[in-house]
Amino acid sequence: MTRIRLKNVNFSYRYFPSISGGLLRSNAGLRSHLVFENFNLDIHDGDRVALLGVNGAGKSTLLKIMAGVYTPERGEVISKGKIYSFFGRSIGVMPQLSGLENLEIRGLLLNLPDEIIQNKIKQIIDFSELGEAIYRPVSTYSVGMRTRLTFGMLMFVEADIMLIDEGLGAGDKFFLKKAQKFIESLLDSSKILVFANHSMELLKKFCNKAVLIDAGEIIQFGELDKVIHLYNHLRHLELKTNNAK
Amino acid sequence: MNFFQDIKKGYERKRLWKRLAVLELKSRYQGAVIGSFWIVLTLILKVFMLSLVYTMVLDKDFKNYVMFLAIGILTWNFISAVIVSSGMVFKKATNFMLEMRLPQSTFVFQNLYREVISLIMYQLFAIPLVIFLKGWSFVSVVWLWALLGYVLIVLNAFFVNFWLGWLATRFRDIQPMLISVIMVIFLVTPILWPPPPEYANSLYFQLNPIYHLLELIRAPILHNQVPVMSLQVGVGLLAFNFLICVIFYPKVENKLVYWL
Repeated sequence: MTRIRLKNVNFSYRYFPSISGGLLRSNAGLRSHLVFENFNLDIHDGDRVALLGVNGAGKSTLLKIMAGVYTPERGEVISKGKIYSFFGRSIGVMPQLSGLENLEIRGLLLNLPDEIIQNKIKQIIDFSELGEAIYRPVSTYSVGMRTRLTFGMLMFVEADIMLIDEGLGAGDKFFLKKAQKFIESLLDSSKILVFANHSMELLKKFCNKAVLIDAGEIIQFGELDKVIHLYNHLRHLELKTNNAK
Repeated sequence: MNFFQDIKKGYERKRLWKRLAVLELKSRYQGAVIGSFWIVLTLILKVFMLSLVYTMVLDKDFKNYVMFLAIGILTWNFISAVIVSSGMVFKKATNFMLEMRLPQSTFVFQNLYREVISLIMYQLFAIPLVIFLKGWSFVSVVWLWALLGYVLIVLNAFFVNFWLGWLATRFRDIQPMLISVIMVIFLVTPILWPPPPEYANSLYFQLNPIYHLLELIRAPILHNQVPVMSLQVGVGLLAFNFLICVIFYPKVENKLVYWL
């Protein structure tokens, strides 16, 4: 049975200070910011969870903890199943390399055999309709083309648990329909999806549950529509307060 | 995962790090007409220009000085490139390390593989140059000791990449410091100038580990000698670098990703 469970997790984000300040002033030292304290979350087979929260709520950090990139200071992360993580468009794609080289690197990162990589690359080129542009550096791509390449990279996935953060933009409508069909087929084979995205359109298409987090705490976890409703309500209140100020 | 498992698992990802290293080398010369051949051409230009000036300044025989400089400078290029790039070995891999958990050694292998390719390309110039200047009769079995020397240098570089990489990722002063220090080491180590015979055994040279690493290659090829003392220093350095890695790996294993 596929599952991800976070049990009493404590996690502080560490970072180097900003470069602002005087040119001769010391910027030394590593700062720490507590993100999660006694955090608990349990995701099971068949859950396609939308991760909601304002910027800085801890969504990306939570995904990185689930993926094993960050190790919590306290508590446990128990995962059963093969994890595939896909974090951010700039992370998934190296702009100085061609689309083809990026696909190759992605396949190698996932440690797939050469034969499978080559077969998948052919499928991805057909799917993404990038044509000859696949041989050009990604830095010359339009936003739409990058989105197509990023979606294409998902074709390499053979995992039980998919963790996706922001990497997928909405793209053009025609392509989105095509991508939706593909992701649905992909999700049939993966048992858990945790998806952070600002596009409600995408979240509604791909998820059946949602978790709303704020300042490292779960506000609500449950049915997608209910959580989205609460999220919109809270955002509305926040906007009102900000306007009143 | 312990240090040994990290190395084993990193090595198993060899298709990834080899491809990344080659792409990195190619991207450095993206758009250049002669591409990666610039690696060799830069060395050729450096050796001939410096030889023209320094044979005059130091009053040396041109043939012998060119050989001394070529062998010394190509080995130095490798050592200095490894030291300076150590500072960026993990920083450069931020995108990958923040996306999935990969063995740290994957990126050390990548860095080293790239530099070893450059080193092999340097040899394509240096070895024929020595044979051209001195003839086939100059080639000797003792040269095999230089091969062992390179193995020692590469192994040392592997472990230095780890600990210097950790240090530079954690403490941001290390990378700019490395760039300054490497220039000073270049000037105080006998690379451009042979050590004066009367001072060859002085502590000034004997305490400089880089001097010994250079001698591992220069002594067999240029003087047909087995550099016993330098071999001992090379093995000692290897033990030191290895121990540093084994001791500190458990302390940085989970923290490295926060420092990126």
